[in-house]
Amino acid sequence: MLLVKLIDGADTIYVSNETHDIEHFYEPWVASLGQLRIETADVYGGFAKPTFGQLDLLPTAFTNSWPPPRQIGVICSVATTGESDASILFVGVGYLNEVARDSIKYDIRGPEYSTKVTDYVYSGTLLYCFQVACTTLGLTLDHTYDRATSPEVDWQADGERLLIDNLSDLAKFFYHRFYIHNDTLYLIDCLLSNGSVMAITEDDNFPSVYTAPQPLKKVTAKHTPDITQYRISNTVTQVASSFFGFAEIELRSIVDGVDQTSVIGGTATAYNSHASYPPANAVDDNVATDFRSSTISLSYMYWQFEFTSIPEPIVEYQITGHSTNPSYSPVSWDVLGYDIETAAWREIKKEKTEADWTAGEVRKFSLPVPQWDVVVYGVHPAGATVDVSPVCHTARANIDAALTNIKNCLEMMRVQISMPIESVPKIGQGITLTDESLMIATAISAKAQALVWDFDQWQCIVEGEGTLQTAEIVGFVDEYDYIGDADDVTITDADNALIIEIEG
Amino acid sequence: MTASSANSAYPVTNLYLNDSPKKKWMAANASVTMAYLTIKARPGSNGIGIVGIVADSVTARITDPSGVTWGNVTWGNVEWGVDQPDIELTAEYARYEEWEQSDTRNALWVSFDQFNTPVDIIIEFRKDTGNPAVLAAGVLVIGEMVDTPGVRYPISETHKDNGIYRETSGGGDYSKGRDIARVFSGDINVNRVAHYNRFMSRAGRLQGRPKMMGLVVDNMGNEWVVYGRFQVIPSGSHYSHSRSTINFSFIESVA
Repeated sequence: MLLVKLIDGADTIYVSNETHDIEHFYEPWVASLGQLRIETADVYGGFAKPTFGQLDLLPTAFTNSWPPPRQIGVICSVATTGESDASILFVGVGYLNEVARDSIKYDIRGPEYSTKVTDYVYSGTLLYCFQVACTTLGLTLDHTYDRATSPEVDWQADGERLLIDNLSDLAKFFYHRFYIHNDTLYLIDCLLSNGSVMAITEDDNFPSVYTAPQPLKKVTAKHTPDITQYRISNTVTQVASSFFGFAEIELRSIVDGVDQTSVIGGTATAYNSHASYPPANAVDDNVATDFRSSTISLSYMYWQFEFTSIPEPIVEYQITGHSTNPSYSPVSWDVLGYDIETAAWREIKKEKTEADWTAGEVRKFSLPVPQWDVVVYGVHPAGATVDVSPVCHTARANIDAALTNIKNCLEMMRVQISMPIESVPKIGQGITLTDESLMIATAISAKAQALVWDFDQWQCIVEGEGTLQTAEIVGFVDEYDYIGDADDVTITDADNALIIEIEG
Repeated sequence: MTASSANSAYPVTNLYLNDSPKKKWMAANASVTMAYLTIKARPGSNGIGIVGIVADSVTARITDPSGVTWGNVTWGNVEWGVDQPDIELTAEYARYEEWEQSDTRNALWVSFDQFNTPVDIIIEFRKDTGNPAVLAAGVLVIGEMVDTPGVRYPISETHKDNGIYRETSGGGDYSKGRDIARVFSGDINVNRVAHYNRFMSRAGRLQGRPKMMGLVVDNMGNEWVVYGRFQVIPSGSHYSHSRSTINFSFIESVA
């Protein structure tokens, strides 16, 4: 039975699409309740967000509180015998849509999670990211069925976004899904079942059709390399004749015009040294001339930094430098990036060159984030190509693993099973059944990626990725094999009191 | 209307402020073996209908407001008593259609001559001591009855099935039962002046299609007490100067 509570201030109106005389009297004033869809953001994971249809009420519902309120609380449950065994499907708010002489229509909206974050950086495990986010959102996290070894995350979201959207992208990339019910966020590994696998029989569902997506040509993702691989080098022309002081270069991370971190940088205290940050990672093996072994008459000095701890991957850096003795001018900027894939130096951008540089002067240049494709190839050269975005890690091996999961999911058969609204799986829960309505009885396994609650037809459509497993061959016993055999055949089944004796 | 006994969750107002036969007035608990309703009836009424009755017998008495009570007359297991010569109350009909206990179709129909003074109508619901049910009733209507004779035989009684039935994957049957409503339809051959206009006014033109209490009686003496509404406004045609035919379809309210 469908039970709907309408909360209008201090008043509660109990309605249903039938009359139910249970703990409260549920008036048959629901003319129609549109489908409730709980659908994971993508077939391979993300936020299983509920979307609601319209609640069409008979005007009688508001006889005592006319006119119908612009906004009303809606608690929708399904139950078998009464409120005591009711399961809440959703708690939402109805916004008045239409008042007509024969119906009052409300648009239903679910809880909104409006917390925003800007250029938010996610690092640590997926579980840790969700733990932090749930604290922010005021939700309890249930991760009973997340991945045993939670995947590592290394991702900065781009710009201002809703936190819940970021979480959805995170979960999707790492083949997880989640849904929120009663202020609890359930994080589920798509490789696992959300709870014990539900074994259903053919009498629990209506005839199904299984669809098979075409095999993929390839799954690609834009790979953002690990920021620790960036290198910036400067070539500074020395114009003084002596070098007894020190030079210093500072780099700062600037985000939206605001310093995000303290100054980082290194100091070269002599002409034949190099600056780096952190110093332990200084490299100098890409310099054409090894100035450290040269004499004081060298005409230039090479500064090279390898950053291992840049807090923001897409930033504008400021390089400042000064020296007390000697001074350097002019400065030739040679900003380079290191291409990990080809292991070759390449120029990525140069905004200013050959400009005078005096002590303390600030120079700016942009450091674009180099990207290239990580590809997981499919088996079908003519199949489709799927681009996955965003990519929530920078290490190639992690991306490969994520894309492989996504590809496998995209190529799985899709199972759609319609069931009476009685015993319905949860999002992410596994289902098994033997479908004997197919030509050969076939074991089916699936996971619920989407649930569509159709109250008018009193059915729930369960959809998700699945497989048609090894067929269970059902043959016929050819009883005539026995007849005519020379040997006597005796089949005795005492339990069923069946005794067949055939004598040849 | 007042009740001698009522469960706080099932007040007597459910009988006349709510048109659902399932939204009942109920006695306080199952130990109450007799409960009665007192109805302040205004002049002009000549019929009472009750559906959704849970009782072993129902007795109705009419008294004047001063408390004078007249004797009872029993019909079937329904006792209907009116005996007051000075205001000429006589029992014309008392019909009780009994289904299973607590079925909303358990119904009582009583018609009587109009009276011209306010009276108290007392309706007593009784049950046997061993009966575990709680005395109850769903809808009570009192008012002016409009009698339209001339129903042709046969009356069609069909059922509107609101249930969901579907074959499961394995060939089994899934069913979600919902209430089945009876639909009575037929023709009435009426005198245009005396009955057609009045029937049409009541059935549709003046009031739309409100729920109403009906006693469907065909010309073979079959009777059905039905609380419901016309599915569509009855249609009619005038086949002769003074005679008309009305087609009607009346569906009962079960939810």
